Amino acid sequence: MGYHDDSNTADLVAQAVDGDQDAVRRIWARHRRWVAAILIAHMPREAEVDDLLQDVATLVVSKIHGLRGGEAALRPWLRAIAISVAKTRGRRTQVRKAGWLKLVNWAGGWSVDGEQQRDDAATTPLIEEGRRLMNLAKDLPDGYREPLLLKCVQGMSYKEIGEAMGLPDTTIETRIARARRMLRERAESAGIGLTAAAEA
Amino acid sequence: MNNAPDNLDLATRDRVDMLVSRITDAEAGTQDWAAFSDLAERHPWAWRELAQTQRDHAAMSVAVGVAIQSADTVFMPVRSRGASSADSRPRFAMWAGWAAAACMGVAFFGGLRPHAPATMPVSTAGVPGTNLATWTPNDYVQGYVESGEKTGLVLGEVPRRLLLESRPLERGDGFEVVYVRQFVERAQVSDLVRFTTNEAGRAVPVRQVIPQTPGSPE
Repeated sequence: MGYHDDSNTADLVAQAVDGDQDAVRRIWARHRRWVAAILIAHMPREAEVDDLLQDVATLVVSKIHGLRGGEAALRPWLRAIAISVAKTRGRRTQVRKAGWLKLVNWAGGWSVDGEQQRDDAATTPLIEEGRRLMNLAKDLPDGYREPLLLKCVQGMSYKEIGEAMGLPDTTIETRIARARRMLRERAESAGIGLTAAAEA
Repeated sequence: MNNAPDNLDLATRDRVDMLVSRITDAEAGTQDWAAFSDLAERHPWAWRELAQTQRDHAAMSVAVGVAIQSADTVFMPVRSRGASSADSRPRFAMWAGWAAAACMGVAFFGGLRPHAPATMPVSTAGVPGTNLATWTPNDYVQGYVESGEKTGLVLGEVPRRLLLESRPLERGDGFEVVYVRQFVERAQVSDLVRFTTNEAGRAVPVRQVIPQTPGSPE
């Protein structure tokens, strides 16, 4: 996924467990994007994904020697760490950020992550629509929100999402289809969609 | 997906949802396409469902892509291959990476700030004195912050330090850490360009418009 590395994943996992830090680095480069999507699916709205991702990276480095089960266990293990970080540290991040927001937010209307700037900018309609849909997706039930967001990470198949979540491909497919219907119903209520675009 | 008629049976509704989703995800086979074509012939609203779902997916994929693109800048706090001591004590080195990060986290969470050393020469106005030969790098940083705060250039240091690399010390009584310190500065500029991402995921510069205040010339 966006990282050219021909190494066999099973070999990399074995090397990483054995203490090869270069292997740990390569595993991380392959998986960090979808791990970020897991964080987005589970973290509080105000948390910063890259802050939490840094925490996940640190935990991966410190704990990978204890990973058992080889390649098959890697995705569920990364997912479990990401969810734990999103749920526990996400809240702490909110509190911490509030402290230094005061420092940075001096110019009135500027925020740390640039949300305000984004709102004012001439962003393309598709991106803006995507952001609004992502916002609505945050309110979907856990079991539906996560596979839907993972499917939006380039290259993730039903099978890969199923491996990460420990569910059969067919369950993932059904959940994504239902999540889309739920999301569309909410989007219609919020005036997002082809009808709204045609009327605009 | 509210294009479906209200009196539609649930089984057909679910079937259309599944086929539309599978087609959108490029996971549909020949049989799926045939089934969808057959259904859409009887229920033309299914085409609109397909178009809407594909648009939603495209929009969300772009937004998710933008949201997670910063993941590429988050690196492992590990040493690269060939660095001394990493191969001889791999697990300890990994643990050390975590331990050092935790210590730095405590320093951050506790709100610790660099202390001005007792030897640091300070003038009566609070501005560092001129005996630069005795200054340590931290003294210079402290001088920069204090002087910058007075002139308005510096607003302060971002408390969080980003750990890039760590390794245990040879003598075994601690760790060497490589990290980034960040400072917040203020400046006034005539033009501001912000980079956003277009639909192809490329960075695009957007010049910021100065908001007109009431009474100012148009």
